[in-house]
Amino acid sequence: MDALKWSSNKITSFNFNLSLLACLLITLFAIFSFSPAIAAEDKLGNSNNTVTQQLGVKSPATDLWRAVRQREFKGSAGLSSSSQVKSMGSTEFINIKGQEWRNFRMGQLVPYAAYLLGGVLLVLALFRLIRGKIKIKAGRSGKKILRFSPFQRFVHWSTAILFVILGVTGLLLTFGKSGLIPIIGGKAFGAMAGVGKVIHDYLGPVFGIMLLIMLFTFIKGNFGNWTDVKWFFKGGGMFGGHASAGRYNGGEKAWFWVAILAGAVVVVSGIVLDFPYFNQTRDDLQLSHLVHAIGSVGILAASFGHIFMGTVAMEGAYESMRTGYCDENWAKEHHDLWYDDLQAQGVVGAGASMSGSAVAGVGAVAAGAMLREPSSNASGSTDGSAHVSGGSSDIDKQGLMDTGVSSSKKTPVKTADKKSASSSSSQSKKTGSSSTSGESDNLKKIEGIGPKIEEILKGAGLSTFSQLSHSNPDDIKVILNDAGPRYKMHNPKTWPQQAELADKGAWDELSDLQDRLLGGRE
Amino acid sequence: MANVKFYCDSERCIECNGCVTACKNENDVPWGVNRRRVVTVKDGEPGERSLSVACMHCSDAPCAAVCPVDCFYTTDNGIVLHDKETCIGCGYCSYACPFGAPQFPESGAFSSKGKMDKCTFCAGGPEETGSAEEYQKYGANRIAEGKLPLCAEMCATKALLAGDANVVSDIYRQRVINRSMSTLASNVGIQKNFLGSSPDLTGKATK
Ligand code: HEM
Ligand code: HEM
Ligand code: SF4
Ligand code: SF4
Repeated sequence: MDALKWSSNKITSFNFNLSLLACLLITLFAIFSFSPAIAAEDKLGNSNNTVTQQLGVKSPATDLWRAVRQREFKGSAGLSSSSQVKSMGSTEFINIKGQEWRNFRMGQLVPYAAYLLGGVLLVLALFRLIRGKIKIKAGRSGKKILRFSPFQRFVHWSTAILFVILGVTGLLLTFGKSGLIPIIGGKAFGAMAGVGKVIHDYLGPVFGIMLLIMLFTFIKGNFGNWTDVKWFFKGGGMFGGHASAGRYNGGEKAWFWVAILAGAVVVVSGIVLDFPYFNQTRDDLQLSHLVHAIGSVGILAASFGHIFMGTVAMEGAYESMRTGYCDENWAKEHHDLWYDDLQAQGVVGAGASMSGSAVAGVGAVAAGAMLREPSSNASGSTDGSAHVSGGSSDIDKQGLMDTGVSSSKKTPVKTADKKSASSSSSQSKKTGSSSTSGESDNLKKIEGIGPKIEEILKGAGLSTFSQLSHSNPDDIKVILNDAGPRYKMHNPKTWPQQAELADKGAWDELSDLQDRLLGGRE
Repeated sequence: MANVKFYCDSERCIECNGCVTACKNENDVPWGVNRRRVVTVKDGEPGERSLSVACMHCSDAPCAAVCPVDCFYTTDNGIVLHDKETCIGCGYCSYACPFGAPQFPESGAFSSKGKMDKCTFCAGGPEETGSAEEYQKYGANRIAEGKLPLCAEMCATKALLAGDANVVSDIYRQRVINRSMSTLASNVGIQKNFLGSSPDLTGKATK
């Protein structure tokens, strides 16, 4: 009744007033005198809305609109609906999930992503301020251990660069409206976000491919074990004393798996958004966006921790991914079990190690060493570990000077790395590795021979340059073939010739010869 | 200023799709996009109804709320418009809109959607009123010419109403009451015929 009074205030037409009056009367009439009629209406299955009951009649549109509101017209689930217009969701009256999605995006994603990412940054900044940079306690040894092969570094940095670009262009959409539009204005931001969107949409799938390659490249050494559990209980060494770690520590492994698994979620949901060829409905897209956004924010928060540890938080970490080599003392302190393994394999340590004299061939040394030691790469597959003397980049040089290590035996900068090799080889001759024949040379001086092959040759009784120089390449080939299929590829043709020069101490000539060789072959 | 609204009367809509065609023609709507559509329920069954659906020009518009580049604006008339220059085609407005109004001219790889297109209540866009750019991007600006949206003007049964929300609701309210009246009147007839009583419509409770 109230509703009718209200409408009568609004409606002024004479005719209408008349009909309204009649309507009021009839309503009263209907209620008090014709209750059977109302009962009959109810039996027809009409709704029990009170206003309707009072009126005895209702707008036929009421049922329709109520059904629309309650989403009864939706595909196979409810009553069917159709439209001449054929496009995504064109037969739907009301997009049910729209409001939920809006609430998620505006009420949850934007604020919670800000809290989470901001909170992580804050915690990391506090950690850095309170704890300070994690130094190499024993200082730098100046001795370098190969930690990542060039391929591993390539995979890591391509993935990392793509990730950073995707993160920036993605967060631009999330925070641009609240963060940037007030500063640079809507037009400028629109132009920026437009470019960002295209970049994001194109690089996303590339990131997916790189992530897959990263999975295979780094999975070795990233399986969890008890050491990692203990590592976490000790907070990575923050409390409860030194936390042991293998090639990767618990935190690194956790990051690896977060990056791979959350990354996969982000990639899959991103592809659903990116390629509308799977008959995606609007509901699918809303869901994908939700998954994509949550996954992205999660992986971004975790990546802050990784990037923090890999750069400003820890001395000696960045260079290992930058140059491929880490300092021996860094390895001892942060990856002690890995270091022990390398020592057991004879890759590092007293016997195999060369003195850290050569600040000399800065830069070139690292690259050179890598080329001259194919065996180490081949044998260690992607997980190659070998060592080389000397600084390998400007950063290392800086580090060496900072800690004042190994200034005693500086060779002039221009000397080729073969020179420094000569001095260290004679040294290692004296120190001697635990070879059976008593006397033994560092056979790795010969291009084509790495630590593994050296071991094999020494096992076969070829321990010195002189012994090697007198042997037949074909015989060496037989030794290599016996050692296993992976050594078949090595061609020892030039080794006796090189060994002869090494035996004579003709290092310059050897160096010249080696310059003409590629991987010990002609 | 008036606050404009659309309303579609399901008792009158005959699914002729005239509004869809009128809109498409008047606004030179991009290929593949229909700013308006007619949805039919219970097609061919008792209780079949049709409604013409387009942008409802929401007062608290979800599309505007979620747009990451904030390219929507509401005119003094309550018409929700957007700027195609700024739009990046992310599609978020189409996820949020209850009525499926925002649509995209493209649907290709790498999420290429083109600039979002939706009903403008025939009010053009941010470009200079009546300019060629405005027409090319948004279609006609009939509001500036003092006319109502063509879809409603074209509607043969006057099912689709457009204009000042108060006027639209008054018209509709009148229709509802008139329909109630006729239903009641037929009820009265039924009472007379089957129950033998003769209701009195003079206004007196008893005779
Ligand atoms: C791990 C890297 C990635 C991060 C951190 C990331 C982050 C984001 C963020 C923050 C948004 C915006 C969410 C919002 O504000 O509503 C977004 C949107 C989006 N992302 Fe990603 N994303 C990543 C990878 C990908 C990949 C691999 C793809 C595709 C294969 C992809 C495709 C999309 C699409 C299609 C959107 C919707 C907006 C647009 O069209 O640009 N993203 N992403
Ligand atoms: C620009 C940002 C990044 C920086 C500065 C950075 C730095 C580093 C450094 C220094 C290491 C070597 C740590 C060690 O020697 O143990 C490393 C390892 C690694 N990084 Fe990154 N990284 C970045 C981004 C990423 C991203 C985006 C991913 C993956 C999506 C990633 C995945 C890995 C993996 C798998 C390793 C190997 C160690 C492990 O398995 O945890 N990094 N990173
Ligand atoms: S596009 Fe959709 S959400 Fe935006 S005003 Fe129109 S009906 Fe409302
Ligand atoms: S598609 Fe355009 S209008 Fe729609 S939300 Fe994205 S930027 Fe805004």
